[in-house]
Amino acid sequence: MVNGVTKIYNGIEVRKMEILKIKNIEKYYGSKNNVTKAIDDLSLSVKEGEYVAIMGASGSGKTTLLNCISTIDKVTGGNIFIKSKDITKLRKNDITKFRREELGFLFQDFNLLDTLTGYENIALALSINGIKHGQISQLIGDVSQVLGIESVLNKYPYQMSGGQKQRVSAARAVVTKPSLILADEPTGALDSKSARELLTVFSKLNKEMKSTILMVTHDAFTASYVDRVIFIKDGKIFSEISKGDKGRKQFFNEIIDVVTLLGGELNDVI
Amino acid sequence: MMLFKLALKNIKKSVRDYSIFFFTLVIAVSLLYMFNSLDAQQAMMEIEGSKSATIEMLTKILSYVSVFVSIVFGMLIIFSNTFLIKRRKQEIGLYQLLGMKRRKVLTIIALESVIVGMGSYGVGLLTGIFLSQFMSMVTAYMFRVDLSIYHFIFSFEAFKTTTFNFFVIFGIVIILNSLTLSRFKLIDLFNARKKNQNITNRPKFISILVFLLSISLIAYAYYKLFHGGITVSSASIAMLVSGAVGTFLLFYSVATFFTIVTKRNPKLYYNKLNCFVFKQISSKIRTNVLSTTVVNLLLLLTIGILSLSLAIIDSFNSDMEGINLTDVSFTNYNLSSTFMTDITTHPLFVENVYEYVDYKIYEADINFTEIMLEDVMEKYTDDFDTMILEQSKNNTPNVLKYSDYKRIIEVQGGEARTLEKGEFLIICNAQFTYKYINDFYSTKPNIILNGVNLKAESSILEEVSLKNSVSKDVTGVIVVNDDVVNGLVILNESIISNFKEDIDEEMDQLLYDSFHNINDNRYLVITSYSTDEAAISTSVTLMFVGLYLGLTFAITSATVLAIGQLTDISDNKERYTILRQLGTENKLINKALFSQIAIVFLLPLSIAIIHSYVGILKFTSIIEMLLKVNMIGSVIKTAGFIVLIYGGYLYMTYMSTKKIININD
Repeated sequence: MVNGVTKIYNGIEVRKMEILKIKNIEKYYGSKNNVTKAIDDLSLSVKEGEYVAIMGASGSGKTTLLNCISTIDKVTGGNIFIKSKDITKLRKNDITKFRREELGFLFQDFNLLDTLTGYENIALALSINGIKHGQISQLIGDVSQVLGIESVLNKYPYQMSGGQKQRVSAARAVVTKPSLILADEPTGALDSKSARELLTVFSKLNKEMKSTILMVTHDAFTASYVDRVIFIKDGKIFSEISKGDKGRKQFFNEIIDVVTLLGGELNDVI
Repeated sequence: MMLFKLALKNIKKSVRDYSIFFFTLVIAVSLLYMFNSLDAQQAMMEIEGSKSATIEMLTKILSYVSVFVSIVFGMLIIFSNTFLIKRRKQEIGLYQLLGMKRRKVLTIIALESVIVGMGSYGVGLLTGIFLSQFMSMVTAYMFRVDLSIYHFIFSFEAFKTTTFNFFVIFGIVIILNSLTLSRFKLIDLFNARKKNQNITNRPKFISILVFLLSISLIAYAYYKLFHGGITVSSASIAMLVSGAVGTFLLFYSVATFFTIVTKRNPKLYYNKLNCFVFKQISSKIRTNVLSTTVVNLLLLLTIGILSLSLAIIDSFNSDMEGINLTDVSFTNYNLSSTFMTDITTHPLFVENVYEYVDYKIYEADINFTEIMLEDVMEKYTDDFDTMILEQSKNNTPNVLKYSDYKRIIEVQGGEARTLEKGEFLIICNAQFTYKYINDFYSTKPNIILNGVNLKAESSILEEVSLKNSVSKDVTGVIVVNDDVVNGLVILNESIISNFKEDIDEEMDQLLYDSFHNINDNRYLVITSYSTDEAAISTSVTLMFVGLYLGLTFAITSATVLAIGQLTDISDNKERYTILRQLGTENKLINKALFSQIAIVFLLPLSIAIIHSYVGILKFTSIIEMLLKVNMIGSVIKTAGFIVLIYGGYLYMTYMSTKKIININD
């Protein structure tokens, strides 16, 4: 089952595949008498090459959603398709293999192994995929050029700045050429300069390496770099806006408008 | 009361951390109890007389050893407690931040220790009492006595010793705790968890230099071992110091060496989780150099003590076989003229003996240098050989008349060799001199004794004993036809006898009382009963002391490693979470975990095996001077022991760390 949409790019017809399709998922916590609905009948889809952000206040269910997509958590009901494969039906061993081959991860606190150098951290993602040594150096060479991290490859995480760590972490996420990159507040632990640099790199990855990125953030500035922003409130989709041909500044203002509408904690992000 | 509740809650909360501390204490207490409960075990057995004297002596020895064992366990408990406190610094800091007085915080920590300590003391004591019931079976077997009907035993002596030692150790732990904690600053307590893991790479050439230095220091220690290192001298100090320092430096440099070697092979290095595993291993080795060295030395002690004591027991027992072929022997070293009548007319002797033989030992008129050719003596260059040969150079061999020899063998129930006129033969069964004499005799030499030219009867030494003894002690007796001894000086005379009934405890005592001093003439009385008893008492003593120390050292070393691994892995749990996030299969992660733990355990063991191999080589060569040693059997037994205890700890550590890293799954 391939759900395709047709778009016109410079007069050429391109079929864009849906990388991620979420259908009516629910996630409940708690006992029978006291149920918390973290995600309540939510559906969305992300197409190949798209750069999407999910925004919401803390407790809105955005991290739960990300965990369910990344197979770290299980849904209570509904289906999640990644490349038309229903990941809610996967067995434990297949999940590990799926995660390794199809998904790339980025975390707020980088999650680099502190005992390994930058190079080794990236290499590990490849070697557990069974990629041989000869190819590893080639692949790392390519990705580190795009991300501008050649100078820190031989450094240990404690010798790098936050921005460098996150870019190494990004390199680790994209080097295996996953179908989908999931980023959980990737700029959360960075200062504004590093955050801006990282986001520029992300855009580059999205444009040049055709990576599909799904990012969770509560920061409007970060969100303004993406193609499409989905807003979540109380486990449901609240609204959705696309950048289209607008400039980043204008898109940022639109995001702020929605945030204001959403109310709550998101107000303090500017 | 509030503080007590808080302490109890804290224990519940950090039950995993406390479990290591708890088990260490339980093992210490139960071992202390078990090995001190011999006096009570005795009650279950039909033991009297000299055996109970042995037990009394053994109990005393074991209580002295217990002091040493307590010190070792005390250090282990302090070590594990330090780990415990380190892990809870932040929590302790929080109490103070919330306004709790330092004194109160210290009270909470002390209370926690007391609760856990009391619990483990109780459990340990119960375990010890339970296990000592089984241990009495081992004791009975070792003493070769039957267990009388089973009844529950409790040793008050063991209880006293255990309690005393435990509370001394424990008191020290609590005092040390309070001292360390009261010195901490609040800021340090808070930053304790934020460890700055600096993986500074030492320059390669320095590591290689240190590595080479360590190898040469160890080689020097080995050299010293074979050149005077086992006597109390400067050589032995040089050996111990260079051996310990060399081992320390070896562990210090081996991590970098390991990294260099593995990095040389990128195919291996960048395969699956290898680069992670290699880094884990080298960082583990690097940060634990001191504890690895200590563990190594403890293992060396375990292997050395166990294998040597087992070997001595084994060779001692096999040495005893076939040397006490008569029931009682009497020897007259002081050449009292009334020896024969004193013994043979004594009513006890007349009443109980049904056959006996008397014989005299003469002194040869030539010494060893004159008999044995110089080149036989020059063949041995080892320091011990030269020492022995040098000292016995001017000694004169003993001589026995052929007719006496024949009667001795007859009463022993053996078969005597025939000696033609103009021939001699040599009796020798002492390991001490066997090889030199055999070298000499196997060439079928000629000698001139008392002016008579004699030739060897054969090229094979006669290996019999003459009188009762606790070991093979015939160092070389020349047997010649009766006429050759005319005019030689008599050294001593003996009577060997067989009794109508087996010698028992009572008879043994009676014989000693009646014969060891007759009208101020002192005679040596040795019964087959007393030699058996001596053998048992030596074996049992060696066995118990060896096992006690072996268990203590093995458990201590394994616990040190287990604590290190458990705390390290739970501190760095997130590393394994990251691996899982990257999509690593559990099987691979577990394998990585196992290799890490296995290497941490096996590295000190492998070096200890090499050290002990060299050490055992040397010690065997010394023991072989006196006893024939079968090292292989005891080495296999020791290996089994190590696999059981050390391997058991390795396995348990692996299983519990696996649980730790899978906890968020």
